[in-house]
Amino acid sequence: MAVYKRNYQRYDGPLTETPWRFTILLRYAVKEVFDSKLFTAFFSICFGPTLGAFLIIYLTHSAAALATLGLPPVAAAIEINNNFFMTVLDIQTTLAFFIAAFLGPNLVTPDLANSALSLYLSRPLTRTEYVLGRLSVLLGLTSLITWIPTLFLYSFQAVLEGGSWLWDNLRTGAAIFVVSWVWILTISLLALALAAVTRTRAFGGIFMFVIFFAASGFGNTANALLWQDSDTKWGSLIDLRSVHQTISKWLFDVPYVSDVPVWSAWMAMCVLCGISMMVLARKIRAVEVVRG
Amino acid sequence: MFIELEHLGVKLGGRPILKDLNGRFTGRCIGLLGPNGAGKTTLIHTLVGFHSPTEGTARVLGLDVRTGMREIRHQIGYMPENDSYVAGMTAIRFVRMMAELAGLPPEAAMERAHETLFYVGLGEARYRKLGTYSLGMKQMAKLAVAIVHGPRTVILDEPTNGLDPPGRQRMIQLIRDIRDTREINLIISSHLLRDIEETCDDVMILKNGEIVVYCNLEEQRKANKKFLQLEARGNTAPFLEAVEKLGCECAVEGNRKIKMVLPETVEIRDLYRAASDFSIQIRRLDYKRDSLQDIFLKAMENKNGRL
Repeated sequence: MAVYKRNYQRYDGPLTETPWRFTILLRYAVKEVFDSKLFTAFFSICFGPTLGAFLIIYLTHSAAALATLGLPPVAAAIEINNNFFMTVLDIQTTLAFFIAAFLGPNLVTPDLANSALSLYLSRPLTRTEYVLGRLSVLLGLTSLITWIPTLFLYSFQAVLEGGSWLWDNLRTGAAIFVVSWVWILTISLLALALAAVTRTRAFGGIFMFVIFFAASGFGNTANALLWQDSDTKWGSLIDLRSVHQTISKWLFDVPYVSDVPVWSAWMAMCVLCGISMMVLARKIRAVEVVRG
Repeated sequence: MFIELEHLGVKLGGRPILKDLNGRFTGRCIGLLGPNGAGKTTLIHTLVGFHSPTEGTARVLGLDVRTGMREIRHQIGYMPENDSYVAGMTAIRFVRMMAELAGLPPEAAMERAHETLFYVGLGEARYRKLGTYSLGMKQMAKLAVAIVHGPRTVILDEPTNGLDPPGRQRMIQLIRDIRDTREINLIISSHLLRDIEETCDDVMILKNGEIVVYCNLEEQRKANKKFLQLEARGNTAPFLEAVEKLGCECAVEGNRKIKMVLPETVEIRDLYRAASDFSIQIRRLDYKRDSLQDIFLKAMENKNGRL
């Protein structure tokens, strides 16, 4: 209908593909997110550590560049190995946590605050697709600062070192991918779930930090009280960061002493993801049914 | 067939809300009426797929709500009763996104979003954030969202909720315009009988989760041409007895108001004659068509709810 006609007309034109409908949410959300200058600035800063790591890799392989800069050879001091990539990824996953804590509540709470979900879900869009659309924003942006740049560094190192290095360090490449995904999936689901429960931006973010820091404190207290003399300190299972580092060190094949067995760390992550998904399944509804 | 209900039952939180609803409804614009808790919104939510039937099924435009919900949602537009918007988004962006989610390509969605917002009277305010809109504007924005993708059926839940008289009039006019294009079917749920009377052809009255009345308003009006309302002074009891002997059905409201249905054989002069015989003064006499209010009240008063 043309504006000047001002009457109702049915739409009989072509329709887009149904399976990819959730990407509309991704597209709109990403545009909205980068409208915030604060977020754009923070997101840009997130590439700083990767850039630093890139320079270190380059300098360790370029005596000429070191000589030009008047720096002593650093190749002996910094070894580019699994430990190096794990450290880079550790920094990047921490930054990813901040992004999830900031962004997660902003994605879901505006829809929940004014019951807009009933409009989304009255379209040919299922609840799963809605969550997938929101999740893909977090997964996409955190991927851009975790496994994608770290794998780029890994590839850069492989190009500089040659095929034998790549062959010897295949596990490191796989670890970068898996460790990143375990973390970004867990924190993204957790951020959305907390936002769905609290229904406010501020509380959603605050609760993320509470879980991150307070759970660590509780875990340490529980360890001190209950498992002080034990080799296995089960209290660490509620410390998200500690659990992830256990998995990370195991996958990167770095020597480590962990408070908890690796299998229990995997279980803890799975349970947390499961709980988050259950919360989302319960809270992301077009209408709430009052029981009783 | 627009809507078909086949032994439809819905339980929420273990309580039966809709009970064994049956019927085939073909009206172009169906009004849903009923007291609070009658199941109007639950029926609407079932038709848009928010609740699953616990018994039986429903079909919208021939598509089963149990198996064809995605296709149904392509064909319907829904305007919820409560506030539904994203406060931080501009109206144009929100309506465009909703059009895209309904399957329109981005360019078509953009074009129709602009046109629809102009159509509902928000053209000048389309770049404002929805959170800054007044209640009336939010209602119009919800209507825009419901029709932006050009659906075959539009379901409006309390469309005039919270609107001031001019806003209500504008909404009613828009609904009539949409109805009169004959390209669309409408279901309108409202507490306001006048809204339903002004916009709908058919009316479905729900009570305790059951359909107690489904009728065509125009046919009802035609069938009740000899409906009178009169105001009398004096001892009305013998007068009422006399007119009932003539075959009139009478109902007394208060002391003086009498509602009366005249059979074909009785003329007005017969009433005046009876009034004269019993020294009754007829102060006022109106022909009164059987309003929706009467239909509604009768449905509510009867023990089983049925007319």
